[in-house]
Amino acid sequence: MIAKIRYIRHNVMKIVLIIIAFAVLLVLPKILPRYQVFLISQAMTFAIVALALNLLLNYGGMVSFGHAGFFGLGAYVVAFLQKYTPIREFWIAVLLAIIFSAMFAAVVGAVCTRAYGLYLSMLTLGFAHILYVIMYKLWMWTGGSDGLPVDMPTIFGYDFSNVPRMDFISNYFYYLILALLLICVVSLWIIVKSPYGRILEAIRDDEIRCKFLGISVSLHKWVAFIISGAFSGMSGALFAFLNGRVTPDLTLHWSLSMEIVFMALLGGFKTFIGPLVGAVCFTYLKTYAIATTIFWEFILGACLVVIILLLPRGIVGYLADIRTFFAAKNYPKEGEKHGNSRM
Amino acid sequence: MEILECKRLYKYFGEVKAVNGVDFTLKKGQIKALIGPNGAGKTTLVNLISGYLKPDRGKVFFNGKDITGYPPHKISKEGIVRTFQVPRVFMNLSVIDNIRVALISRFNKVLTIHRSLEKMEDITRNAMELLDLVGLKSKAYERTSDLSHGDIKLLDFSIALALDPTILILDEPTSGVGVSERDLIIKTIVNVVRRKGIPTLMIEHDMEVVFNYAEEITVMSEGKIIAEGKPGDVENNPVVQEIVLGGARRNAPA
Repeated sequence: MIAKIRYIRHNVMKIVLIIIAFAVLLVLPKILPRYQVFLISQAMTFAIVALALNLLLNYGGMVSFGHAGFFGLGAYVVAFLQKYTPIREFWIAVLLAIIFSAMFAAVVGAVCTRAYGLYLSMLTLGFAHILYVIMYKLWMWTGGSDGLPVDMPTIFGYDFSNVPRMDFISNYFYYLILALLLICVVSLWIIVKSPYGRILEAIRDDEIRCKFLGISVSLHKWVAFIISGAFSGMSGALFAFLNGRVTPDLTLHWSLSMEIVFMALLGGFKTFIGPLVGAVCFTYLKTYAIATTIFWEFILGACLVVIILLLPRGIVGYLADIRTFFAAKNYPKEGEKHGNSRM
Repeated sequence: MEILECKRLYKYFGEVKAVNGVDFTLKKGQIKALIGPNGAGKTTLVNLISGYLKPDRGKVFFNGKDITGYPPHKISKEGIVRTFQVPRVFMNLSVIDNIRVALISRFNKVLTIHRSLEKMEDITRNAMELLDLVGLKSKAYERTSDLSHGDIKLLDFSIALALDPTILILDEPTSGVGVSERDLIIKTIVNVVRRKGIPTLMIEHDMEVVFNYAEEITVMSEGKIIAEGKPGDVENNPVVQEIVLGGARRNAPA
């Protein structure tokens, strides 16, 4: 019973922390310079795709090296919509990005869930790269390596096309991304705490046992792909509006897929909130590494080595370890009766 | 009355005749033991029944329905539930979640994504009742990887039980545990199974367990059934004594 109370209290603590974090984020644009607001917006955008990746990575036990595919498709849907249709409404663009990315994820997932381990990872990489090559080579429709421009959208019918981009971001778009990130965090949290999420974890632990419990394993994994792809597509759409230009190298290149996995590792993919922390840290790390030296990739690589060797559970995992370390100091005192601490 | 019936089952792995023309039945409310030396084809037979392998030839009937070649998840939905020689439990989940996973599947809630599992009272209550049955209630919120091997064996059994099986197939329920734990495990299992009246097929190497608890014994060797019957008859069968019992019980009083 105490264990159960402790379990619930632990979750309440987490939720309180998340609410405090969002409250701080709410006031940040008023005190920080615009460039910082842009960086945080970018970090939050990537946080969505990193959290989506973690649904597969941690809860499903599937390593995807192709999340740039879902992300980039979402971004390109926004760009195509602006280039080939008169639609400027933000919500329509985001909704279409989600639908198309989810459909692409359904195709990718249908193939990839038939494979295991490294084969699955390589298949996801392959699908994402096919998309990259298509956007790169069909330059007459996609703009090739220059990509396509993305204008300011109309939000709820209110036209932002004449507002300078930096004003638009720090006064409006930042809050929109924050709200959408909150929605994503809450909905992914609900999903991982639902019966569906628990079965996904069970499949990660022992697929064969799950089959013998009457669970259709491939259907379950396929649904995980679609959910993850949908959130990634939304993240890509937000990035398109944020960045103002969509290019294959920015949104579809395989190195972006790796960066998304890096974010999850950095924050701690064994925790729910780790990828979010990882995305923020990674965005700052990369930005300042690029600003400091032309060998910025060396810095990122070195960080990756250090994390894997010293902090394999990531930043959030490490913080949790510190807490457990202090909590474990409750040994029974000298002469005190040794009870079962787990009861 | 037969609830499970296998007719002329064959499964060869290349030259190895793992299951070579086996006729096998399980009656309602019966605890049956399947014994035989290593490599006799016991596990292969169970794999054929539970859908892990497809037979080369032959049919499996369950309640008169032909279930040959069904995938594992369909067969377990039909009501044939098995455990494994090496326990297959969900090591990174809590003990209660192991049971909940099976209950979610039984209640067809596998694709429910909008409701919190913690708030599904009926599933938690059911899971607690099952854990109480096998004596793991006090460890419900522990991580499964912290359990002892004996407890994991019991958990493995209770996961199978959570599906409300029509037939239970237990693959060596007491392998790898000490004598004192073995008695506890087998008594718990037999008590539960008898009370619920679940027909049970049990592969077992421990002859003490087999002769004390099984109502009927089937002996396999080299892919064939060489003897079948009540424990007393099987024990006195000279072929069985030669191959399986290895003379160990030859001089023991029947």
